[in-house]
Amino acid sequence: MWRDAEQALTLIWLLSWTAHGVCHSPPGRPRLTRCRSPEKETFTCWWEPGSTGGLPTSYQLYYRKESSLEVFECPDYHKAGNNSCYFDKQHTSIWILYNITVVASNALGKAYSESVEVDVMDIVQPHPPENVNVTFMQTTNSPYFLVQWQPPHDADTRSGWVTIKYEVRLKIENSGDEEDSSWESYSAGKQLEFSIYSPQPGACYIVQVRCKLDHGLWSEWSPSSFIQIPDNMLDTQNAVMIIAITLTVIIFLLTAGALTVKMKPVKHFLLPPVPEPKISGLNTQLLKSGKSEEIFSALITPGYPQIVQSSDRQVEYLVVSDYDEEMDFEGKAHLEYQKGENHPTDNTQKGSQNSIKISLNSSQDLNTTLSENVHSGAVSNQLSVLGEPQQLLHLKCKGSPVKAQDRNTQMSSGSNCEHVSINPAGLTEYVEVDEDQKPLVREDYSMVSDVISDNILVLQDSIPVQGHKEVKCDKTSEAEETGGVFEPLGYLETLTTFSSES
Amino acid sequence: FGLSLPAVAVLLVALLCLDPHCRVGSAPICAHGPSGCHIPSLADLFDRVIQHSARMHSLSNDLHSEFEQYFLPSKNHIGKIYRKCHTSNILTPNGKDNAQKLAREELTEVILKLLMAWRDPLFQLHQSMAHQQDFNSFSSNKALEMGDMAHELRKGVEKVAEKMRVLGMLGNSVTGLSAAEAMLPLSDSGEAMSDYELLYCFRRDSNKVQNYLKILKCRIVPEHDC
Repeated sequence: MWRDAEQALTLIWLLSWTAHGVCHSPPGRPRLTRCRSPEKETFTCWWEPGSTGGLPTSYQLYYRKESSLEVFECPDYHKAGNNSCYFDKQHTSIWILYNITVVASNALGKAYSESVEVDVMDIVQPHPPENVNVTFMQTTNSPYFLVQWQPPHDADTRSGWVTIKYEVRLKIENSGDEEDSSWESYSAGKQLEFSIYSPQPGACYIVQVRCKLDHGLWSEWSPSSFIQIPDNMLDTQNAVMIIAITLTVIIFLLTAGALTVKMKPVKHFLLPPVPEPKISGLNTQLLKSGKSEEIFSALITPGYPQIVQSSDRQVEYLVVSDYDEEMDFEGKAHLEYQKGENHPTDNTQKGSQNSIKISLNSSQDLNTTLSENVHSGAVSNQLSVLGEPQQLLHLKCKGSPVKAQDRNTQMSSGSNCEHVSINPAGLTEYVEVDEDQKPLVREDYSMVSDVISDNILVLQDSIPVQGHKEVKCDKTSEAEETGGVFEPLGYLETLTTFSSES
Repeated sequence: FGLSLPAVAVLLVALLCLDPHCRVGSAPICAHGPSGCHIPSLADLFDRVIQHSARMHSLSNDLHSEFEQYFLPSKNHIGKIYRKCHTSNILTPNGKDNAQKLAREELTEVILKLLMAWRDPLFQLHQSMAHQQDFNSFSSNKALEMGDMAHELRKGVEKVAEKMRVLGMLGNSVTGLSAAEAMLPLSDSGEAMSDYELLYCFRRDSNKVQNYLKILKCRIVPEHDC
């Protein structure tokens, strides 16, 4: 057993020694990893070596330019570090394809990498911006912090060869938090500074900047810059806000309290009630109760219209006519009293008629004659005054004078007397004197033709047509008579019984 | 003062029509002088033109990457570039130093040559893209827009050149461009270039134009952004 172990060990040792010494091989293939141009004027390519094969290996880079078969070797292997090739300005041509190959060679052989075609236009990636610094600017109302930087030193913007665009990013450093806050990126265009407004007080920000040339690749982020925002920055603002809010709340509470206590007066003050329409005499309560009779009786004012009720009264007519022949145009009127005669006059109508003709010689005459001829108790006088009485006509009526003034006026006497109204002729006006009349109107308003005043009803019986001088009298006590029989006269004529004193 | 409104109107119309300039036509607004009219300065013109070229290049970039994404999955495949672009005959400066060494007139001429050389090929590109079903309409619209932009950009650069000539910045050595036109995009073997190749070449050339314009601007009007 010991012998087997020794043999095994010896075998292993031999094998390993063999591997070291004997297994040399040609190098493995290198690989071009990337090529970059920081300013579009030079560029560098890096490669990754393959296995060395145990022997010292050297690497060469060969390139060919587009449309030319000439092969060149890398001009500078050292400037950019190990396994790199730097093409300076003389050897760099933009807008031309480079075909680049790296060769690894050792004692045993060579290995060619895959060829890579590169156009410098496509591999432009600048260095990150330099000298990034952040300062906190504390202004009263809007604090902010300012980020400033410089362009990478090798980019030539002065000649317009390249145009640089920048980008800023920042995040809040959360030491101790599990969750990292994410970066906020801002495009800064071509400017060399950038302001961040309204930073969080008390936070620590990390700021980085990067840049890009034209349509190329973004550079690496610049090294982080830190800034600490002071804590007490917003104290004054906070205090003011707190005071304002407290005041507002207090005022609000006071207003609410006042409103709840004095709801109604305030409501009346702000929104005065609109007055409702009212009809005098109309009681809304009555309306609600719903009895129509009461309502309408309330609506009717007492004393309107007046219905004169006296059953014993008779209507007499007093005719005052003015004859043309005997006419004295001084205004005399003749009062004539006729009874039971068919007294033909010029203006009288045919048919039996009784009329009282009153010829007025003077006002006094009328008075006297009237008083003579008129029975106080049962006369309904109808005066038709022709002409133009200039004087007042005084009619005595139960001793109380009745005045007749102008031609168009109507007279009314006292309550006990007849109502005498004298109208000059020519019109269909007539005079009706009511006293003790029959109940012509038995609460029947069908014969009312006109309501002259508050307590005078004018009753119509016939068709009014024309003025006339004389009144026809009808003996009958009928109130209704067709006017066509007697010639149109236009008024009701009823001759009541006269006293015998005439 | 005694004239009624219709009479006044008739008078006005008559006056207008008697004026020999009263014709319907497209006259530039600022034809009669700078009064009240903002004539863009050379710097403004340059800015406009540079923005335009940046947009054009960005469009060509998008189209090219779209194409690469969908039609050529393997990058760096060897056979892709050994066809020349049809504009390779035009001698263009290949670096910043070379571009700065060129005179203004020559640089301007190079720009104009390039833009002129792409007039027809871009039109062809749009046509062929529109006909193929592989491209969606979005891409073919972009191609159309790109062609229009190249056309407009050329006009813009010509205006800039004229302005410079007027201001005495350019000598009269800018040769006529008639010789540079109508270059058909033929490759070495005489075949027409494919869409992808056209896109690739135009992307490169639009980048050249953009860079040259910027160099020209910062050389001539260095106040802004330089």
